[in-house]
Amino acid sequence: MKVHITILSLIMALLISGISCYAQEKYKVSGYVKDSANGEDLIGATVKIENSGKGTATNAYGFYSLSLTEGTHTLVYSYVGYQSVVKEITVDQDITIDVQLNEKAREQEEVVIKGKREDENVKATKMSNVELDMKQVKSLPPLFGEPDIIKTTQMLPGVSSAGEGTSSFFVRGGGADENLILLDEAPVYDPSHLFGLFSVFNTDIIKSSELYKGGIPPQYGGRLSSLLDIRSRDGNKKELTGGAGIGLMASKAYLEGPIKKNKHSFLISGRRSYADLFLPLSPNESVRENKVYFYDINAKAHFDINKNNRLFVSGYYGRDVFKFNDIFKMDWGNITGTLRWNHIFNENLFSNTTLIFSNFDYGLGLSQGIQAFDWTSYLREVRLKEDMSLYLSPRMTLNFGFSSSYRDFQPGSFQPSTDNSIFTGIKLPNLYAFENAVYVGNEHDITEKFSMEYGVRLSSFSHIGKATVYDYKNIRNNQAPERTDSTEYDRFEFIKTFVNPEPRVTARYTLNDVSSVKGSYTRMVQYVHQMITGTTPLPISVWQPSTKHIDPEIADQWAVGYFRNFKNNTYETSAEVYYKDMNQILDFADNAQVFFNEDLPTVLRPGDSWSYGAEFMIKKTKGDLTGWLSYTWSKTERQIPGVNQGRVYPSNQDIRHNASLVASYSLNKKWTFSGNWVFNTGRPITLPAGNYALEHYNVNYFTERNGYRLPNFHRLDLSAVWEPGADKDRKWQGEWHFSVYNVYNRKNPFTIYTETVEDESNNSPGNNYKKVAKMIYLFPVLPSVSYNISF
Amino acid sequence: MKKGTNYKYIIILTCLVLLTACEKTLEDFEIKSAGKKVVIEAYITDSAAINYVRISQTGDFYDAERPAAIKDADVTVYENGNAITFSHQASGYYINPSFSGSPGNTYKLEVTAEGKTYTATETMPPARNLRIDSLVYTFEEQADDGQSYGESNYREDYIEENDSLYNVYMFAREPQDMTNFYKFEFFRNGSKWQNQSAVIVNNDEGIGEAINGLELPGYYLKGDTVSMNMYSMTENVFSYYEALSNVMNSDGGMFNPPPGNPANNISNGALGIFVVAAVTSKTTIIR
Repeated sequence: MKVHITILSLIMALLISGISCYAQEKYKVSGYVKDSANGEDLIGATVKIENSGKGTATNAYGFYSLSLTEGTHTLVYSYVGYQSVVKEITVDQDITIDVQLNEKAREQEEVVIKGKREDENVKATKMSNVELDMKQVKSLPPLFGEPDIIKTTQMLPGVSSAGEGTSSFFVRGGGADENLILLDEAPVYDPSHLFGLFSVFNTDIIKSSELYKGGIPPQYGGRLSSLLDIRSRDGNKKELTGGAGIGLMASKAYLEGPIKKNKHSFLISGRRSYADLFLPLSPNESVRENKVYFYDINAKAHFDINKNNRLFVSGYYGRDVFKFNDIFKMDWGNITGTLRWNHIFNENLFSNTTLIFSNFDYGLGLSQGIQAFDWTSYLREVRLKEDMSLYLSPRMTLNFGFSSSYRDFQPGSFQPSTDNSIFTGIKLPNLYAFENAVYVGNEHDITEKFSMEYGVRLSSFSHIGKATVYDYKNIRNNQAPERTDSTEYDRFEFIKTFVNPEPRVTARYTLNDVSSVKGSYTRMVQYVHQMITGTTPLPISVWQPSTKHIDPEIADQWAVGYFRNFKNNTYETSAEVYYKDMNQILDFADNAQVFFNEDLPTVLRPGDSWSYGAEFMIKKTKGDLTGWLSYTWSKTERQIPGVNQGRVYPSNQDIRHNASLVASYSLNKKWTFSGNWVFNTGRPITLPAGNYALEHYNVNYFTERNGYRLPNFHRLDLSAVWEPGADKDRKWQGEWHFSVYNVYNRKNPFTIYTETVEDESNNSPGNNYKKVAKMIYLFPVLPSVSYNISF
Repeated sequence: MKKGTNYKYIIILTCLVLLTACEKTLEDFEIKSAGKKVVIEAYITDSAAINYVRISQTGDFYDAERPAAIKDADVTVYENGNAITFSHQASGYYINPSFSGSPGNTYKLEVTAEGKTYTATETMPPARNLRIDSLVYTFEEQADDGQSYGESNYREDYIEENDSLYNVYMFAREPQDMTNFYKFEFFRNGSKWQNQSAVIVNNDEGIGEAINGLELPGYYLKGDTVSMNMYSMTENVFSYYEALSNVMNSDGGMFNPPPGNPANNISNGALGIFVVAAVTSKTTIIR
């Protein structure tokens, strides 16, 4: 706490002194940087004042602003993978310069990973973050032929998968619900299709995907461990283009184009899986009647209203449907909507106002018989967000704003679905919450070599009415919870409010032109918690806000790193170590019941967790061969009263060794080969140390939580992309993707469970008490092929 | 009603649909060794036939033998403070043939075994609970592929040899003015339906009054005697069985809550449970 306050006061002092003593250059040059081919904004393109070492980069909307002294200056606009543009300008007033950059043609240039700037790894202040190259994501071997940014994210250093075939991941020892996943700034509460085999993000429409493991900017908050910021493309402003793809599991199509040329554009895409189309071929009648599918639609429109105003509307709608024998059904899906308004007040002040809507809901049901039921649950969020950037000087950009959200949680409604159902129905009361935050941060180049980004986010979270709040005789008694008191609250009445300052600091010191050291401190606070009792969340794992009896989770993270580029930025290397201290982390009592439990706080067990580790990455960004090699060593433990007899135990996220090798080789214009190999230590698992007899049951006897580990996980995937018409100058191009998942057919453990061996006469143990451990493994060697066409 | 969903089967089912999931037995998976613990299974009910205390020890995971019974323990049950001695019968079972409990009475169990004393106290809930009106059976047409019978406790040849199987349904009234916790047991010709993964307990939250035709597990033949026991338990005991269900169905903590020894009502760290319950039984013969 003391350190936290010291850092906080330091930041405040820096902010005040930084802002008050900046040397103001007289005039401003500002504008947008775009891709000349389709008018797409370029995020993070650099604008440098030649021979001065000063410069800036475009923000998430392609906007930049630079202060200049009167006179003649040479500005260099560059973006990796694009030809730089040099502009000589004479400044005697504020001016606007919009620049369009041309993508480098393949003939004149080797394959390049598109990043923000060539030397970003070394020169940017931020650390612990990785931006994915969408082109590479698409070329990597996909599971069932569908490229997936989450599966690629899981191969980054410091990140591990929550289980093969899932769309959940752990970042630096944090749980799967500690990642803030944003699609066009709207939170996505469940990123999974088909229980995570696919993620909800369609790579056709994604422009950028950036993961922050630490050093998270103060405009973001609400989750402890990471920010995955996914942004969709705006749509082609110049001409109508589109594409379609057919894979083994899913087909998709997209269309984009100008609504008004060079001004307004649209983008629409859709996917539908058809695994169930093969089911009618099954010899088994009950399998034939099953339905398993998902679909999703992304739509976006972008309006350049005038020089100072732009409007974006984007939306996502997706749903998964499972039906077994027309009796059991399960479905879930997300809806997100973003309405965004970019406004340039003047050359110094850029504003982004965002109205966000997000909905997640699921349903489970049995439609026949006297146990027929419909189980539904939802979570809705409406958020208003204002982000302002004040370009004080070439050395200083002040970011500030606020965010307000209102959430409505319906944790579960269980209703009879037939007249003769034995159920009368239960509906857990809705929970409502109001979250607010204000923040200020400064991107400050203090000297040529030393730069900092520092700021603070002040967040507040209130559980509000309508609600009935119970008190308990013993809040940790979940066997027979005893309520001592109840208090009624009216609609919008404040029940419990938490306020937390969250300081954030990142600093970079450039050692020389190709290397730097960086350090960061980040405090994050999480007010909504997913009730994931196992290791991996399920769509039915409901979200629970902090309430009177559930404190927010808090994480403090320190990280330092060394960054060095080699061979003219061809190789980027980084080494980072981190220590993360997590408080009031929620775990669960043994055998906790979280569904339809009105006394949910009684099954929660808050306590401490800590994680530390070292992450190494070598990335090759240029040449025919690109890719990365990463290795992470980490340790994550917990100590929680009421769990594991109060003793320290490994977290579910405790993965000691984690390595990935990802490579793409561009043989010629027509052929690209890719592969990845992943290795990680098996996750901790709770298994028995003995057994005993109780009635006819052969019961496991446990001595500790997470006392065992699954065997190591490793897998090789390979793929090839073939563009037969790449050398032809024609309007459309076709592309074949061939891939093999799990090439050497490793039986990787998904989980281990124990079972009593069934004896001859029935499935009771009888006199035979023999137990076995059984391992479930998911995917054998799986070849797949898909065909994509674009025009 | 707290719905215990078995995710292991959902995920296996999903993967089967996707034609991929497999499982294999790990022949040499190393299990840590643990010290022995005393296990107490005690039933005090208002039915003369169901009053016993069973004392045993934990065993090694891979040991195929029934874990060792403790035959030299001292067992006393106090009914509203009055001591009743239970003596060893066989295989770790302790009984008092003349004893049966009554609803509303408080029972204290005192067991001294392996040099330690264990106690537990529960009050028998009133018998004013689920009223079982009848058990009704219907003839089921045997499906060609036998698929529709699903998991049963009968040998496959039992199904194959008999094309006239019966389903049995329960008709009952659930009192709506009180909270009840139930445990069910089912018998065919006196032998208990013993499925390792089925711990059949329920509370009455969200259950309506009319229960018209709840299917019993298993399939039955003409001439079979079908019977069931229903225990009306305390919340503590119900929670124990609910946790036991999680343990019996654990998927290793992938999706299920982390398994652990179910919290019980016995002092001093013994495993097991002291059940004090009112029992209702119902029997029908398929003619």
